[in-house]
Amino acid sequence: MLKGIRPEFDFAASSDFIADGLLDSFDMVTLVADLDKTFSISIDGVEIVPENFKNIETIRALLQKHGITT
Amino acid sequence: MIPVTGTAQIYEAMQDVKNRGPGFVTNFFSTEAKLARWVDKRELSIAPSDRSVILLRRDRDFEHLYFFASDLAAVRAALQGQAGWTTPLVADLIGREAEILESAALFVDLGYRHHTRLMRLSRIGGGSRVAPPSPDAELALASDAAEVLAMLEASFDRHAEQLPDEGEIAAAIAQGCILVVRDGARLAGLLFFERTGLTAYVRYWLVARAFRDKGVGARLMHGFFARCPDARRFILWVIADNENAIKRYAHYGFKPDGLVDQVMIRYSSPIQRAGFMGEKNG
Repeated sequence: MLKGIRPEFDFAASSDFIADGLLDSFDMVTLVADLDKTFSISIDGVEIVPENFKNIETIRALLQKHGITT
Repeated sequence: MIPVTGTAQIYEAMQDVKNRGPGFVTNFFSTEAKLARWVDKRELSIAPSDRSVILLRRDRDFEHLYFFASDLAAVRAALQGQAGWTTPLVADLIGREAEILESAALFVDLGYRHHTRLMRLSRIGGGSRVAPPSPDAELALASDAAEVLAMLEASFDRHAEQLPDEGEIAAAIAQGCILVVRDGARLAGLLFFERTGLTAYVRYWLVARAFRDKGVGARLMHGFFARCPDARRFILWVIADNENAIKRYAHYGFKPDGLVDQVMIRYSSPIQRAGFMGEKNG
């Protein structure tokens, strides 16, 4: 999904997608919409913050909060 | 509308919308830092409901309109309920072409007009691809802030291009994010940029009319690339029918990446509209 949003970046090589500039605020909202749709969940408004989209682990943790294991 | 006194007020209102279930529509893509700055400057007001959040941000003589809603029907209901607004309103509808058609039609239904369209250009990969000119551009000084603001306001469309205020310009100068080329005591051109990790964003690239076709723009662009040697992605927004600018950006490897910003505007009266339409925008 991340590759779909920003195919030019190597997400595995980054521990902070936001600070490293791999995802901007538009990408983050796009990712939330994609995650909502793909997993039929509703990521909370207060969860749409950079801390939850820093890297694969934080995104995984966010999904786990919504009962999704990847 | 209620004045916004803290960012939590906005996130909590968005939370109420998301509690309605999965899926949402929005044109609100602000970063936390930008949002905090708007709150500090008391520029924001909010109209929350359980299905939508409408945010207004004061900017010069108009307001930017943002929405976060469970669907477009909720946006329609919220905006119909605010028909008495008297300030000109500008809504940026951002997304892929096909994604914004429906929301643009909704805004037309609500009395908005198509104002202009921007498209995003991207360049992947670092370094300059053409030989650098000399001498290099230099960093702007704090004393340049007022002139930078005057140049931006004279050359760009304030409704469409998210123009900064003098405080924001001063902060960018302090961070080394505005390059200039001087001609004596005047600025011949400027390039205002932002950096976030591997991404560099050209906000404004401008050469004063009297200095065009003299290599000033090239000096600025090369100065920019030289200051972002490790950037992997370069992005900018350009007015979609500004063929001259698009051609110049293409020279440096920028190409459309599919994202567009349809700028919609609503004037509250024909007189107000006539006043705005009569002004020069760059």
